[in-house]
Amino acid sequence: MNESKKKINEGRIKSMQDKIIALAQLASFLAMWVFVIGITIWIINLISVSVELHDAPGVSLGISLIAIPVFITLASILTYAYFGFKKKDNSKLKNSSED
Amino acid sequence: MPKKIQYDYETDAVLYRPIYETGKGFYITVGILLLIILWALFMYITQVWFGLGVTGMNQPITWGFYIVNFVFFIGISHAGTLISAILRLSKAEWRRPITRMAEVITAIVLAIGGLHPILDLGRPDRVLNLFTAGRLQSPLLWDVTSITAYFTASTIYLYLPMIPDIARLRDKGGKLTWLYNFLSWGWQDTEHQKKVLNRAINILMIMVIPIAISVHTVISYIFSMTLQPGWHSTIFGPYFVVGAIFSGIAALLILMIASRKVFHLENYLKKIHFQYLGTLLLIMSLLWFYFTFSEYLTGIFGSEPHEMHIILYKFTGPYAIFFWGMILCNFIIPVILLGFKRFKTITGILFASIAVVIGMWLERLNIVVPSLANPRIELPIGIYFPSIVEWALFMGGIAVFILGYVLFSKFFPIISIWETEEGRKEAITEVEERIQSYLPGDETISK
Repeated sequence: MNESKKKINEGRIKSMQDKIIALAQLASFLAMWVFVIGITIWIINLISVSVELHDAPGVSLGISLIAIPVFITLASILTYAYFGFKKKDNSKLKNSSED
Repeated sequence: MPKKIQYDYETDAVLYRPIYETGKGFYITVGILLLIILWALFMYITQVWFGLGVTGMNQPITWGFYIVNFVFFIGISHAGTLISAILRLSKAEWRRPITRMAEVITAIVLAIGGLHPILDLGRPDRVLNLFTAGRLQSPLLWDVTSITAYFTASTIYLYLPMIPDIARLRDKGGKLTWLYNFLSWGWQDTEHQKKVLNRAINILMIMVIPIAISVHTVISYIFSMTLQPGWHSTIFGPYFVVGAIFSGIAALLILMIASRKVFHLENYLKKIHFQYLGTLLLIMSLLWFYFTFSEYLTGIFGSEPHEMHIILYKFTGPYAIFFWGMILCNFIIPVILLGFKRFKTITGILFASIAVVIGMWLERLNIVVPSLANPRIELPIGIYFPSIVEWALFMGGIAVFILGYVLFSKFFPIISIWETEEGRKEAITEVEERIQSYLPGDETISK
Protein backbone atom coordinates (compact mmCIF):
# COMPACT_ATOMS: atom_id res chain seq x y z
CA MET A 1 0.00 0.00 0.00
CA ASN A 2 2.77 2.38 1.05
CA GLU A 3 4.74 1.54 -2.04
CA SER A 4 1.86 2.34 -4.35
CA LYS A 5 1.39 5.70 -2.56
CA LYS A 6 5.08 6.36 -2.96
CA LYS A 7 4.82 5.58 -6.67
CA ILE A 8 1.84 7.91 -7.07
CA ASN A 9 3.74 10.70 -5.29
CA GLU A 10 6.80 10.17 -7.45
CA GLY A 11 4.57 10.29 -10.51
CA ARG A 12 3.05 13.58 -9.35
CA ILE A 13 6.47 15.09 -8.67
CA LYS A 14 7.67 13.94 -12.08
CA SER A 15 4.68 15.45 -13.87
CA MET A 16 5.13 18.71 -11.91
CA GLN A 17 8.82 18.80 -12.89
CA ASP A 18 7.90 18.17 -16.52
CA LYS A 19 5.40 21.04 -16.42
CA ILE A 20 7.99 23.43 -14.91
CA ILE A 21 10.53 22.44 -17.55
CA ALA A 22 7.95 22.86 -20.34
CA LEU A 23 7.15 26.34 -18.98
CA ALA A 24 10.85 27.25 -18.76
CA GLN A 25 11.32 26.06 -22.36
CA LEU A 26 8.41 28.19 -23.50
CA ALA A 27 9.78 31.20 -21.57
CA SER A 28 13.24 30.84 -23.13
CA PHE A 29 11.70 30.49 -26.57
CA LEU A 30 9.57 33.62 -25.99
CA ALA A 31 12.69 35.45 -24.74
CA MET A 32 14.17 34.94 -28.21
CA TRP A 33 11.18 36.72 -29.75
CA VAL A 34 11.38 39.51 -27.14
CA PHE A 35 15.04 39.94 -28.12
CA VAL A 36 14.23 40.08 -31.84
CA ILE A 37 11.29 42.45 -31.37
CA GLY A 38 13.49 44.59 -29.10
CA ILE A 39 16.15 44.87 -31.82
CA THR A 40 13.49 45.72 -34.41
CA ILE A 41 12.08 48.49 -32.20
CA TRP A 42 15.60 49.80 -31.54
CA ILE A 43 16.39 49.96 -35.27
CA ILE A 44 13.05 51.64 -36.04
CA ASN A 45 13.77 54.18 -33.29
CA LEU A 46 17.20 54.94 -34.80
CA ILE A 47 15.59 55.44 -38.22
CA SER A 48 13.05 57.86 -36.75
CA VAL A 49 15.90 59.81 -35.06
CA SER A 50 17.78 60.03 -38.37
CA VAL A 51 14.59 61.22 -40.15
CA GLU A 52 13.98 63.81 -37.45
CA LEU A 53 17.55 65.12 -37.70
CA HIS A 54 17.68 64.84 -41.53
CA ASP A 55 20.78 62.72 -40.93
CA ALA A 56 21.05 60.43 -43.98
CA PRO A 57 17.85 58.46 -43.26
CA GLY A 58 18.22 56.54 -46.55
CA VAL A 59 21.35 54.77 -45.27
CA SER A 60 19.59 53.84 -42.01
CA LEU A 61 16.67 52.45 -43.98
CA GLY A 62 19.00 50.44 -46.20
CA ILE A 63 20.74 48.84 -43.21
CA SER A 64 17.44 48.09 -41.49
CA LEU A 65 16.07 46.42 -44.62
CA ILE A 66 18.82 43.82 -44.25
CA ALA A 67 19.09 43.59 -40.46
CA ILE A 68 15.44 43.21 -39.43
CA PRO A 69 14.59 40.31 -41.79
CA VAL A 70 17.76 38.46 -40.72
CA PHE A 71 16.74 38.53 -37.05
CA ILE A 72 13.13 37.62 -37.83
CA THR A 73 14.24 34.68 -40.00
CA LEU A 74 16.53 33.40 -37.24
CA ALA A 75 13.73 33.55 -34.69
CA SER A 76 11.38 31.88 -37.18
CA ILE A 77 13.80 28.96 -37.65
CA LEU A 78 13.91 28.50 -33.89
CA THR A 79 10.10 28.68 -33.74
CA TYR A 80 9.84 26.07 -36.50
CA ALA A 81 12.20 23.75 -34.62
CA TYR A 82 10.48 24.33 -31.26
CA PHE A 83 6.97 23.51 -32.51
CA GLY A 84 8.27 20.85 -34.90
CA PHE A 85 9.83 18.93 -32.03
CA LYS A 86 6.70 19.26 -29.90
CA LYS A 87 4.38 18.06 -32.64
CA LYS A 88 3.21 14.52 -31.92
CA ASP A 89 4.64 12.05 -34.35
CA ASN A 90 2.19 9.33 -35.40
CA SER A 91 4.93 7.16 -36.79
CA LYS A 92 6.53 4.84 -34.28
CA LEU A 93 9.47 6.07 -32.26
CA LYS A 94 12.63 4.90 -33.91
CA ASN A 95 13.96 3.36 -30.74
CA SER A 96 10.78 1.46 -29.94
CA SER A 97 10.49 0.14 -33.47
CA GLU A 98 14.03 -1.18 -33.24
CA ASP A 99 13.17 -2.91 -29.95
CA MET B 1 25.90 7.78 -2.80
CA PRO B 2 25.08 9.06 -6.32
CA LYS B 3 24.33 6.42 -8.95
CA LYS B 4 27.24 5.81 -11.33
CA ILE B 5 26.24 6.55 -14.90
CA GLN B 6 26.92 3.70 -17.29
CA TYR B 7 28.47 4.69 -20.58
CA ASP B 8 31.38 2.28 -21.01
CA TYR B 9 29.33 -0.08 -23.17
CA GLU B 10 28.71 2.70 -25.73
CA THR B 11 30.63 2.66 -29.02
CA ASP B 12 31.53 6.29 -28.44
CA ALA B 13 32.28 5.94 -24.71
CA VAL B 14 35.36 8.11 -25.03
CA LEU B 15 33.15 11.05 -26.00
CA TYR B 16 31.13 10.72 -22.77
CA ARG B 17 34.17 10.34 -20.52
CA PRO B 18 35.01 14.08 -20.05
CA ILE B 19 31.39 14.66 -18.95
CA TYR B 20 31.13 11.86 -16.39
CA GLU B 21 34.70 11.72 -15.12
CA THR B 22 36.44 14.73 -13.65
CA GLY B 23 40.17 14.55 -13.04
CA LYS B 24 42.48 16.79 -11.04
CA GLY B 25 43.61 18.47 -14.24
CA PHE B 26 40.17 19.96 -14.74
CA TYR B 27 40.15 21.71 -11.35
CA ILE B 28 43.73 22.93 -11.72
CA THR B 29 43.03 24.33 -15.19
CA VAL B 30 39.82 26.03 -14.08
CA GLY B 31 41.59 27.43 -10.99
CA ILE B 32 44.47 28.92 -12.99
CA LEU B 33 42.10 30.39 -15.57
CA LEU B 34 39.89 31.91 -12.87
CA LEU B 35 42.95 33.54 -11.29
CA ILE B 36 43.91 35.12 -14.63
CA ILE B 37 40.32 36.28 -15.15
CA LEU B 38 40.20 37.80 -11.64
CA TRP B 39 43.49 39.59 -12.31
CA ALA B 40 42.06 40.96 -15.59
CA LEU B 41 38.88 42.01 -13.80
CA PHE B 42 40.89 43.86 -11.14
CA MET B 43 42.84 45.65 -13.87
CA TYR B 44 39.63 46.58 -15.65
CA ILE B 45 38.19 48.05 -12.44
CA THR B 46 41.43 50.05 -12.14
CA GLN B 47 40.88 51.34 -15.66
CA VAL B 48 37.27 52.31 -14.98
CA TRP B 49 38.33 53.99 -11.73
CA PHE B 50 41.32 55.97 -13.06
CA GLY B 51 40.28 56.29 -16.71
CA LEU B 52 42.00 55.37 -19.97
CA GLY B 53 45.18 57.14 -18.75
CA VAL B 54 46.26 53.80 -17.28
CA THR B 55 46.50 52.34 -20.79
CA GLY B 56 49.26 52.98 -23.32
CA MET B 57 46.82 54.81 -25.62
CA ASN B 58 47.57 58.49 -26.17
CA GLN B 59 47.34 61.24 -28.76
CA PRO B 60 47.42 60.50 -31.66
CA ILE B 61 47.23 56.71 -31.06
CA THR B 62 43.73 56.49 -29.64
CA TRP B 63 43.17 52.86 -30.60
CA GLY B 64 45.44 50.18 -29.19
CA PHE B 65 45.23 46.64 -27.91
CA TYR B 66 41.47 46.67 -27.39
CA ILE B 67 40.62 47.36 -31.02
CA VAL B 68 43.44 45.10 -32.23
CA ASN B 69 42.04 42.30 -30.06
CA PHE B 70 38.48 43.10 -31.11
CA VAL B 71 39.35 42.57 -34.78
CA PHE B 72 41.53 39.57 -33.91
CA PHE B 73 38.92 37.74 -31.81
CA ILE B 74 36.11 38.38 -34.27
CA GLY B 75 38.43 37.02 -36.97
CA ILE B 76 39.05 33.84 -34.97
CA SER B 77 35.29 33.39 -34.71
CA HIS B 78 35.23 32.68 -38.45
CA ALA B 79 36.76 29.32 -37.64
CA GLY B 80 33.53 27.92 -36.56
CA THR B 81 30.18 28.56 -38.01
CA LEU B 82 31.47 29.60 -41.42
CA ILE B 83 33.80 26.62 -41.87
CA SER B 84 31.23 24.23 -40.40
CA ALA B 85 28.53 25.61 -42.71
CA ILE B 86 30.76 25.32 -45.78
CA LEU B 87 31.73 21.74 -44.90
CA ARG B 88 28.10 20.75 -44.26
CA LEU B 89 26.93 22.44 -47.45
CA SER B 90 29.59 20.70 -49.54
CA LYS B 91 28.67 17.39 -47.84
CA ALA B 92 32.28 16.83 -46.80
CA GLU B 93 31.98 13.62 -44.79
CA TRP B 94 35.21 14.28 -42.87
CA ARG B 95 33.51 17.23 -41.21
CA ARG B 96 31.66 15.14 -38.59
CA PRO B 97 34.23 15.20 -35.75
CA ILE B 98 35.14 18.84 -36.42
CA THR B 99 31.93 20.86 -36.72
CA ARG B 100 30.94 20.97 -33.02
CA MET B 101 34.37 22.21 -31.92
CA ALA B 102 34.39 24.81 -34.66
CA GLU B 103 30.92 26.07 -33.71
CA VAL B 104 31.85 26.34 -30.02
CA ILE B 105 34.87 28.49 -30.89
CA THR B 106 32.61 30.91 -32.75
CA ALA B 107 30.07 31.32 -29.97
CA ILE B 108 32.67 31.91 -27.21
CA VAL B 109 35.08 34.07 -29.17
CA LEU B 110 32.33 36.27 -30.61
CA ALA B 111 31.10 37.07 -27.10
CA ILE B 112 34.65 37.99 -26.02
CA GLY B 113 35.46 39.99 -29.15
CA GLY B 114 32.15 41.81 -29.12
CA LEU B 115 32.86 43.15 -25.62
CA HIS B 116 36.22 44.68 -26.56
CA PRO B 117 34.87 48.00 -27.90
CA ILE B 118 33.24 48.46 -24.46
CA LEU B 119 36.66 47.90 -22.83
CA ASP B 120 37.92 50.68 -25.08
CA LEU B 121 35.47 53.14 -23.55
CA GLY B 122 36.72 55.22 -20.65
CA ARG B 123 33.09 55.49 -19.55
CA PRO B 124 31.55 52.08 -20.27
CA ASP B 125 28.14 53.30 -19.09
CA ARG B 126 28.00 55.46 -22.21
CA VAL B 127 27.45 52.35 -24.31
CA LEU B 128 23.81 52.76 -23.28
CA ASN B 129 23.68 55.88 -25.46
CA LEU B 130 23.57 53.45 -28.38
CA PHE B 131 19.97 52.66 -27.53
CA THR B 132 18.77 56.23 -27.63
CA ALA B 133 21.18 58.17 -29.81
CA GLY B 134 22.98 55.62 -31.97
CA ARG B 135 23.62 56.58 -35.58
CA LEU B 136 22.71 53.75 -37.91
CA GLN B 137 24.64 55.55 -40.63
CA SER B 138 27.90 54.86 -38.80
CA PRO B 139 29.95 51.74 -39.66
CA LEU B 140 30.38 51.27 -35.90
CA LEU B 141 26.62 50.68 -35.59
CA TRP B 142 26.73 48.33 -38.59
CA ASP B 143 29.27 46.39 -36.57
CA VAL B 144 26.98 46.21 -33.55
CA THR B 145 24.13 44.98 -35.73
CA SER B 146 26.12 42.45 -37.78
CA ILE B 147 27.99 41.02 -34.78
CA THR B 148 24.70 40.62 -32.88
CA ALA B 149 23.18 38.87 -35.91
CA TYR B 150 26.21 36.61 -36.30
CA PHE B 151 26.25 35.78 -32.59
CA THR B 152 22.53 34.94 -32.64
CA ALA B 153 22.88 32.81 -35.79
CA SER B 154 26.00 31.05 -34.48
CA THR B 155 24.43 30.25 -31.11
CA ILE B 156 21.35 28.77 -32.80
CA TYR B 157 23.60 26.93 -35.25
CA LEU B 158 25.57 25.48 -32.34
CA TYR B 159 22.51 24.67 -30.25
CA LEU B 160 20.19 22.95 -32.72
CA PRO B 161 22.61 20.18 -33.80
CA MET B 162 23.40 19.61 -30.11
CA ILE B 163 19.81 18.70 -29.20
CA PRO B 164 20.00 14.95 -30.04
CA ASP B 165 23.19 14.63 -27.96
CA ILE B 166 21.66 16.60 -25.07
CA ALA B 167 18.70 14.18 -25.15
CA ARG B 168 21.12 11.25 -24.83
CA LEU B 169 22.67 12.86 -21.75
CA ARG B 170 19.16 13.44 -20.37
CA ASP B 171 18.28 9.78 -20.85
CA LYS B 172 21.40 8.65 -19.04
CA GLY B 173 20.26 10.49 -15.90
CA GLY B 174 22.55 12.06 -13.30
CA LYS B 175 22.76 15.33 -11.44
CA LEU B 176 22.10 17.63 -14.36
CA THR B 177 19.15 15.74 -15.86
CA TRP B 178 16.90 18.76 -15.31
CA LEU B 179 19.28 20.93 -17.37
CA TYR B 180 19.51 18.41 -20.19
CA ASN B 181 15.76 17.92 -20.04
CA PHE B 182 15.26 21.68 -20.38
CA LEU B 183 17.74 21.99 -23.26
CA SER B 184 16.61 18.89 -25.18
CA TRP B 185 13.23 20.43 -26.18
CA GLY B 186 11.41 17.11 -25.89
CA TRP B 187 13.65 15.30 -28.36
CA GLN B 188 12.65 11.63 -28.72
CA ASP B 189 14.64 10.74 -31.84
CA THR B 190 11.53 10.33 -34.00
CA GLU B 191 11.69 10.50 -37.78
CA HIS B 192 9.58 13.68 -37.77
CA GLN B 193 11.91 15.41 -35.32
CA LYS B 194 14.92 14.40 -37.40
CA LYS B 195 13.28 15.84 -40.50
CA VAL B 196 12.54 19.12 -38.70
CA LEU B 197 16.09 19.32 -37.31
CA ASN B 198 17.73 18.65 -40.67
CA ARG B 199 15.52 21.23 -42.37
CA ALA B 200 16.34 23.86 -39.73
CA ILE B 201 20.08 23.12 -39.97
CA ASN B 202 19.94 23.30 -43.77
CA ILE B 203 18.29 26.74 -43.72
CA LEU B 204 20.71 27.96 -41.06
CA MET B 205 23.85 26.80 -42.85
CA ILE B 206 22.85 28.72 -45.95
CA MET B 207 21.99 31.83 -43.90
CA VAL B 208 25.12 31.76 -41.79
CA ILE B 209 27.61 32.02 -44.68
CA PRO B 210 26.59 35.51 -45.91
CA ILE B 211 26.15 36.71 -42.32
CA ALA B 212 29.69 35.58 -41.41
CA ILE B 213 31.17 37.21 -44.52
CA SER B 214 29.27 40.42 -43.84
CA VAL B 215 30.58 40.60 -40.26
CA HIS B 216 34.23 40.85 -41.14
CA THR B 217 33.53 43.00 -44.17
CA VAL B 218 31.69 45.43 -41.91
CA ILE B 219 34.56 45.34 -39.39
CA SER B 220 36.94 46.36 -42.18
CA TYR B 221 34.60 49.28 -42.94
CA ILE B 222 35.51 50.88 -39.58
CA PHE B 223 38.89 51.48 -41.16
CA SER B 224 38.26 51.65 -44.89
CA MET B 225 35.36 54.14 -44.67
CA THR B 226 37.78 56.73 -43.29
CA LEU B 227 40.16 58.71 -45.53
CA GLN B 228 43.12 57.69 -43.37
CA PRO B 229 46.22 56.56 -45.33
CA GLY B 230 46.78 52.85 -44.83
CA TRP B 231 43.08 52.30 -44.14
CA HIS B 232 41.20 53.78 -47.07
CA SER B 233 41.22 50.76 -49.35
CA THR B 234 38.54 49.00 -51.40
CA ILE B 235 40.29 45.66 -50.90
CA PHE B 236 39.86 45.75 -47.11
CA GLY B 237 36.50 43.91 -47.05
CA PRO B 238 37.65 40.68 -48.73
CA TYR B 239 41.15 41.08 -47.21
CA PHE B 240 39.65 41.01 -43.72
CA VAL B 241 37.39 38.05 -44.55
CA VAL B 242 40.35 36.04 -45.91
CA GLY B 243 42.43 36.94 -42.84
CA ALA B 244 39.56 35.95 -40.55
CA ILE B 245 39.09 32.53 -42.15
CA PHE B 246 42.87 32.07 -42.16
CA SER B 247 43.26 32.78 -38.42
CA GLY B 248 40.06 30.85 -37.70
CA ILE B 249 41.33 27.65 -39.31
CA ALA B 250 44.62 28.00 -37.42
CA ALA B 251 42.80 28.43 -34.09
CA LEU B 252 40.57 25.44 -34.88
CA LEU B 253 43.61 23.28 -35.63
CA ILE B 254 45.29 24.26 -32.34
CA LEU B 255 42.13 23.41 -30.42
CA MET B 256 41.69 20.11 -32.28
CA ILE B 257 45.26 19.05 -31.52
CA ALA B 258 44.89 20.05 -27.84
CA SER B 259 41.52 18.24 -27.51
CA ARG B 260 42.90 15.15 -29.23
CA LYS B 261 45.72 14.98 -26.69
CA VAL B 262 43.71 15.86 -23.57
CA PHE B 263 40.56 13.82 -24.28
CA HIS B 264 42.30 10.95 -26.14
CA LEU B 265 40.38 11.49 -29.36
CA GLU B 266 42.98 9.87 -31.60
CA ASN B 267 40.34 7.54 -33.10
CA TYR B 268 38.12 10.48 -34.04
CA LEU B 269 40.49 13.28 -35.00
CA LYS B 270 42.68 11.36 -37.38
CA LYS B 271 45.70 12.41 -39.39
CA ILE B 272 43.49 12.83 -42.46
CA HIS B 273 41.49 15.60 -40.76
CA PHE B 274 44.67 17.52 -40.00
CA GLN B 275 45.98 16.93 -43.51
CA TYR B 276 42.80 18.34 -45.08
CA LEU B 277 42.61 21.34 -42.78
CA GLY B 278 46.37 21.84 -43.15
CA THR B 279 45.95 22.04 -46.93
CA LEU B 280 43.14 24.54 -46.44
CA LEU B 281 45.43 26.58 -44.16
CA LEU B 282 48.15 26.54 -46.82
CA ILE B 283 45.69 27.78 -49.47
CA MET B 284 44.53 30.56 -47.13
CA SER B 285 48.17 31.51 -46.47
CA LEU B 286 48.79 31.93 -50.19
CA LEU B 287 45.54 33.84 -50.59
CA TRP B 288 46.43 36.10 -47.65
CA PHE B 289 49.83 36.82 -49.19
CA TYR B 290 48.20 37.63 -52.53
CA PHE B 291 45.88 40.17 -50.87
CA THR B 292 48.73 41.69 -48.81
CA PHE B 293 50.93 41.95 -51.89
CA SER B 294 48.13 43.59 -53.92
CA GLU B 295 47.39 46.03 -51.12
CA TYR B 296 50.98 47.24 -50.80
CA LEU B 297 51.80 47.08 -54.53
CA THR B 298 48.96 49.43 -55.47
CA GLY B 299 50.01 51.80 -52.66
CA ILE B 300 53.66 51.81 -53.72
CA PHE B 301 52.84 52.12 -57.43
CA GLY B 302 50.56 55.10 -56.78
CA SER B 303 53.25 56.74 -54.58
CA GLU B 304 50.76 59.10 -52.97
CA PRO B 305 52.99 60.88 -50.37
CA HIS B 306 50.83 60.23 -47.28
CA GLU B 307 50.25 56.60 -48.28
CA MET B 308 53.97 56.09 -48.99
CA HIS B 309 54.85 57.61 -45.64
CA ILE B 310 52.74 54.97 -43.83
CA ILE B 311 54.06 52.14 -46.00
CA LEU B 312 57.69 53.09 -45.36
CA TYR B 313 56.90 53.54 -41.68
CA LYS B 314 55.58 49.97 -41.60
CA PHE B 315 58.59 48.61 -43.54
CA THR B 316 61.35 50.45 -41.68
CA GLY B 317 59.86 52.31 -38.70
CA PRO B 318 59.71 51.32 -35.03
CA TYR B 319 56.98 48.75 -35.80
CA ALA B 320 58.90 47.16 -38.71
CA ILE B 321 59.76 44.13 -36.59
CA PHE B 322 56.03 43.43 -36.28
CA PHE B 323 55.48 43.86 -40.01
CA TRP B 324 58.26 41.45 -40.98
CA GLY B 325 57.23 39.15 -38.12
CA MET B 326 53.77 39.08 -39.68
CA ILE B 327 55.19 38.05 -43.09
CA LEU B 328 57.32 35.38 -41.42
CA CYS B 329 54.44 33.94 -39.36
CA ASN B 330 51.66 34.22 -41.95
CA PHE B 331 53.52 33.24 -45.08
CA ILE B 332 57.05 31.88 -44.77
CA ILE B 333 56.54 29.48 -41.82
CA PRO B 334 53.17 28.02 -42.95
CA VAL B 335 54.29 27.62 -46.56
CA ILE B 336 57.44 25.74 -45.48
CA LEU B 337 55.67 23.59 -42.89
CA LEU B 338 52.56 22.85 -44.89
CA GLY B 339 53.99 22.87 -48.39
CA PHE B 340 56.43 19.99 -47.87
CA LYS B 341 55.12 16.52 -47.09
CA ARG B 342 58.03 15.87 -44.70
CA PHE B 343 56.98 18.71 -42.37
CA LYS B 344 53.23 18.26 -42.74
CA THR B 345 52.89 16.14 -39.62
CA ILE B 346 50.50 16.93 -36.75
CA THR B 347 53.39 18.65 -34.90
CA GLY B 348 54.29 20.60 -38.04
CA ILE B 349 50.66 21.65 -38.50
CA LEU B 350 50.52 22.72 -34.84
CA PHE B 351 53.60 24.94 -35.24
CA ALA B 352 52.23 26.41 -38.47
CA SER B 353 48.88 27.13 -36.79
CA ILE B 354 50.51 28.81 -33.78
CA ALA B 355 52.60 30.92 -36.17
CA VAL B 356 49.47 31.94 -38.11
CA VAL B 357 47.55 32.95 -34.97
CA ILE B 358 50.51 35.12 -33.85
CA GLY B 359 50.96 36.45 -37.38
CA MET B 360 47.31 37.41 -37.74
CA TRP B 361 47.38 39.22 -34.41
CA LEU B 362 50.44 41.13 -35.66
CA GLU B 363 48.56 41.92 -38.87
CA ARG B 364 45.75 43.53 -36.85
CA LEU B 365 48.37 45.53 -34.91
CA ASN B 366 50.00 46.62 -38.19
CA ILE B 367 46.69 47.85 -39.51
CA VAL B 368 45.53 49.74 -36.41
CA VAL B 369 48.63 51.40 -34.92
CA PRO B 370 50.94 52.71 -37.72
CA SER B 371 48.15 54.65 -39.47
CA LEU B 372 47.18 56.34 -36.20
CA ALA B 373 50.83 57.01 -35.27
CA ASN B 374 51.24 59.20 -38.38
CA PRO B 375 48.47 61.79 -38.35
CA ARG B 376 48.14 64.21 -41.24
CA ILE B 377 47.40 67.13 -38.91
CA GLU B 378 50.21 68.96 -37.11
CA LEU B 379 50.92 66.42 -34.40
CA PRO B 380 54.20 64.67 -33.64
CA ILE B 381 54.56 61.01 -34.68
CA GLY B 382 53.12 58.86 -31.92
CA ILE B 383 54.45 55.75 -30.27
CA TYR B 384 52.39 53.14 -28.49
CA PHE B 385 53.41 50.74 -25.75
CA PRO B 386 50.60 48.70 -24.23
CA SER B 387 50.38 48.99 -20.45
CA ILE B 388 50.04 46.15 -17.95
CA VAL B 389 46.27 46.83 -17.87
CA GLU B 390 45.98 46.12 -21.59
CA TRP B 391 48.14 43.00 -21.33
CA ALA B 392 46.02 41.79 -18.40
CA LEU B 393 42.80 42.24 -20.36
CA PHE B 394 44.32 40.48 -23.36
CA MET B 395 45.33 37.53 -21.17
CA GLY B 396 41.91 37.68 -19.53
CA GLY B 397 40.20 37.42 -22.92
CA ILE B 398 42.24 34.33 -23.83
CA ALA B 399 41.54 32.83 -20.37
CA VAL B 400 37.79 33.38 -20.77
CA PHE B 401 37.96 31.60 -24.12
CA ILE B 402 39.84 28.58 -22.73
CA LEU B 403 37.59 28.45 -19.66
CA GLY B 404 34.48 28.61 -21.85
CA TYR B 405 35.75 25.71 -23.93
CA VAL B 406 36.80 23.65 -20.89
CA LEU B 407 33.39 24.16 -19.25
CA PHE B 408 31.58 23.34 -22.48
CA SER B 409 33.50 20.07 -22.77
CA LYS B 410 32.56 19.27 -19.15
CA PHE B 411 28.84 19.49 -19.88
CA PHE B 412 28.47 18.56 -23.54
CA PRO B 413 30.24 16.22 -25.99
CA ILE B 414 32.77 18.18 -28.05
CA ILE B 415 32.29 15.78 -30.95
CA SER B 416 28.76 15.30 -32.19
CA ILE B 417 27.81 11.75 -31.18
CA TRP B 418 24.62 11.46 -33.24
CA GLU B 419 26.35 12.77 -36.36
CA THR B 420 29.19 10.28 -35.85
CA GLU B 421 26.65 7.46 -35.56
CA GLU B 422 24.77 8.74 -38.59
CA GLY B 423 28.08 8.76 -40.47
CA ARG B 424 28.70 5.12 -39.56
CA LYS B 425 25.19 4.00 -40.49
CA GLU B 426 24.30 6.04 -43.54
CA ALA B 427 27.26 7.99 -44.95
CA ILE B 428 28.98 5.16 -46.82
CA THR B 429 25.83 4.24 -48.77
CA GLU B 430 25.01 7.90 -49.32
CA VAL B 431 28.49 8.70 -50.62
CA GLU B 432 28.38 5.66 -52.90
CA GLU B 433 25.05 6.77 -54.31
CA ARG B 434 26.35 10.31 -54.74
CA ILE B 435 29.43 9.10 -56.63
CA GLN B 436 27.18 6.97 -58.81
CA SER B 437 25.15 10.06 -59.65
CA TYR B 438 28.33 11.94 -60.71
CA LEU B 439 29.48 9.21 -63.05
CA PRO B 440 28.40 9.17 -66.68
CA GLY B 441 25.22 7.21 -67.27
CA ASP B 442 21.48 7.37 -67.50
CA GLU B 443 20.03 10.07 -65.20
CA THR B 444 17.22 7.79 -63.95
CA ILE B 445 19.63 4.99 -63.05
CA SER B 446 21.87 7.48 -61.22
CA LYS B 447 18.90 8.71 -59.21
